[in-house]
Amino acid sequence: MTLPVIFFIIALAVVIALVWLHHAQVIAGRLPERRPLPALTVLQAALARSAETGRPVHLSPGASTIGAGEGQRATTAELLAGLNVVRQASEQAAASGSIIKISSADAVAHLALRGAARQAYRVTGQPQAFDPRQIELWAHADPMAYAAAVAAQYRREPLEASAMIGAFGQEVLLATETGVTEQLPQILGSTHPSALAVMAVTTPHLLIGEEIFAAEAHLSSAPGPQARLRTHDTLRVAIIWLLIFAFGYGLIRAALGWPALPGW
Amino acid sequence: MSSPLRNPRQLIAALIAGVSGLIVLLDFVGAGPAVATLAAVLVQWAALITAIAVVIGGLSVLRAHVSRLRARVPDAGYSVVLITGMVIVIVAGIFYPTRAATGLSLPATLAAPTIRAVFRLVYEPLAASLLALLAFFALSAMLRALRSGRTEAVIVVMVALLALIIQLPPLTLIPLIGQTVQWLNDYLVAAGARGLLLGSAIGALVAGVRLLIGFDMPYADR
Repeated sequence: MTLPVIFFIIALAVVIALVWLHHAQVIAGRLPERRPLPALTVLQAALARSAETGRPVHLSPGASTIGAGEGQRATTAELLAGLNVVRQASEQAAASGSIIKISSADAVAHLALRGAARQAYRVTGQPQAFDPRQIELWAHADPMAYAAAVAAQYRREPLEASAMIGAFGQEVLLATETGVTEQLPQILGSTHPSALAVMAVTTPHLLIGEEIFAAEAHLSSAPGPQARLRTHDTLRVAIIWLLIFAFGYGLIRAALGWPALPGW
Repeated sequence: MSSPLRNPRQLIAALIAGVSGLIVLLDFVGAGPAVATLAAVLVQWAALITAIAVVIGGLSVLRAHVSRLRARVPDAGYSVVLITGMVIVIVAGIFYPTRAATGLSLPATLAAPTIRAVFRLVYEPLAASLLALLAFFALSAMLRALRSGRTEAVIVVMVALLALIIQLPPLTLIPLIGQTVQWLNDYLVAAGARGLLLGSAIGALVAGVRLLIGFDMPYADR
């Protein structure tokens, strides 16, 4: 086995151990400290308003897909993050009688969203309120077509708010700019720098990078998301320390004649 | 959420998902030919499931637009365009015979002449037009952001303008400009992008591991 493979297996074992430890800690009542994410407060407020106004809240994991084609960047993780947000928002909608409209740009994501929304209504004791027509497939494997579809929907139907959290490229501007002209509150989140740049210009309610993975823990008090947030925080701190250590080592190793770190 | 250990249905689902994920992961780090064969079979199954999902998704789209036509909603004309487009692409991509050396044959891939012609004549001009529109959308968003005075929006616009200006041909001739831009790209921009990437990678890793060991089961009914 090569060095990267050994490193990968050790890292995976450490992450599995951390996930286990944090799950046990959260179940024992040790919850993580959460800094506020104002974008999610806007989403929760919009869901609450929707019950009164009757206008739907649009929820979407963006143009995320399961897996990736040749030469494409995989967006499965962003899809899972978006799916988790949609599930939590659906639970709030089911509990408060709000109306939601869920869209996606991938056929598999479409089926996963149907399952997630159905579960959300079932968990809150409102299975009869679930309508599969709330979940629509607006495009498949084509982010540009999906952005155009979202823009058309913004013009066609008055919405209470739109939460699009997942994978996007710069084409998201087609949808978000239309949302701004329709005076629609938009909650946007992505991990892609080019999408984040255009999102920052069009909405103040933004989830940047890893915040989309932490969003579920802010919307739910269930142990799973809280444990996941604890593991995120621990790994982030570990990586920051590793970077500082490597930087410090790089500074002094030349003076002391020590060997370079493997891979550097 | 109930524990999978107390629910046989959830336990089976978690085991299938966990073992499948582990096999593909082991193949990724190079665990040998036996694992590679198993992983290839699993990936083929996943592709098959995706194809079935596309069919279900297509039927869902068709049903939604047929019901819009039946309800005679005001913009039902768009539904007619969509259904017509759908039929044309399906016929061109699957059922339209083309002349080959051995006689007439049905299209086997998206590279077949008929479906390629549909993409070249209809889809590509439309996609290019939408992409071209982005420039105007960006301009409108920029002006609005400057008027709104939001700090982060103004910073993004200023940096974008600066990046555009310093790449103008006359400016690149000025000494130090090129090196400064290169330094900014190599250090500041790369550091920001890597920071984002690391944060996302941690999120993806934790989400994947929790799914693999059955702590999260978005696929299972609760």
